[in-house]
Amino acid sequence: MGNVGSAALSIKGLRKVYRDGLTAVSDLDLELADGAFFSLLGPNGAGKTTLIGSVCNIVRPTAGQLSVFGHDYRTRAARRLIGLAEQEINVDRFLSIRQLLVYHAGYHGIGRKTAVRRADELLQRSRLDHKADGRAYELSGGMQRRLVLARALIHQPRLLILDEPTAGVDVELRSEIWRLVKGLNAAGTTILLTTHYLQEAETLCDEIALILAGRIVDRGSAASLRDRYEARDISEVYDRVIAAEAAS
Amino acid sequence: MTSIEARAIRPHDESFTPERSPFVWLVEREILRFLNIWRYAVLGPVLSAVLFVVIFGSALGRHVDPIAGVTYGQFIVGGLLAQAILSVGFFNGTTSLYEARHDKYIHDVFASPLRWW
Repeated sequence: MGNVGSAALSIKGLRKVYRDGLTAVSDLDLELADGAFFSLLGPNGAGKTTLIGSVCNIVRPTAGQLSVFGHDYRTRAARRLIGLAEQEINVDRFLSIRQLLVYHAGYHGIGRKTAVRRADELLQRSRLDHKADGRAYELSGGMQRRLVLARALIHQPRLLILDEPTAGVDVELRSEIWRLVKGLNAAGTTILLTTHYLQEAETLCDEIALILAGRIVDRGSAASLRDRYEARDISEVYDRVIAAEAAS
Repeated sequence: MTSIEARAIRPHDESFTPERSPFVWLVEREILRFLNIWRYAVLGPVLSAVLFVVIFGSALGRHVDPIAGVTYGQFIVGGLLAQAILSVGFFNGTTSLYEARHDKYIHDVFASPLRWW
């Protein structure tokens, strides 16, 4: 059982060394409060996806303690609380669009009637209901992105992890995704977002962490980071942090 | 997508109690996949077994005497049938896993509370 008042996500001493010797994450500590809207910023290869993969049991950490709402991250109680929308459109090509959502709900132990009802609701909200019996590869890029988001939401996760959800999408869909995640956060869902769009992090998130070479080099609210680095915006903060780390 | 209306947030201190076993859902998905591709999965091995029976049965069968009343044709049909079942089973199991890993939708399963026990 999770402890009352537990952090949504607690990571202590996370380290991941791949078989080829690459250290993707190095002794990383991170804590997200319940209901937070948190963003991880960093260049490609900084360790963001490895961190997310470790939390979601996709990557096996070399060392570290991870817990989700007080549950060890490997337990079923923890897994049922996490929703993940990955950067890639990773959908089962043998299933129809409705089946993709229904089976995902099933993997989370949801019964058929509820799974079908929730799938239909989400398809309607995502404006994919007219494509429900088609295949994901027949959809446009934006529709596929909406499908992956709908899949992450079908089991009503309490911690939603979004790995670059707006990468390669048009301005209209980006605004839709922003509205969606803001609404979810307002309703109590904790959000962990990784993005390359610095303005996105600054606009949406309560707190931002800058990750570089598998370590969190700084974190705080957008305002506190701007003050600390005497910068006009997060983009300037980001440039200064990257430059400082490169110089050290 | 419109913004999601406010809803009761899911409690975090409940244990996992599935309405239906996630493993049963996975088994069902595998059956569904097989039913979608049965033509490719079954037809090839069946055709090759039939060809073996015809070729070996007619060409070799004439030169091999029955043993304990069992003709060569009777002997080889059983073997080829077993071989076809084994190869279809192996092919389906491995390709399903390979595709899931390659397209990364296996992450869905890894991240879920699914267990076989």
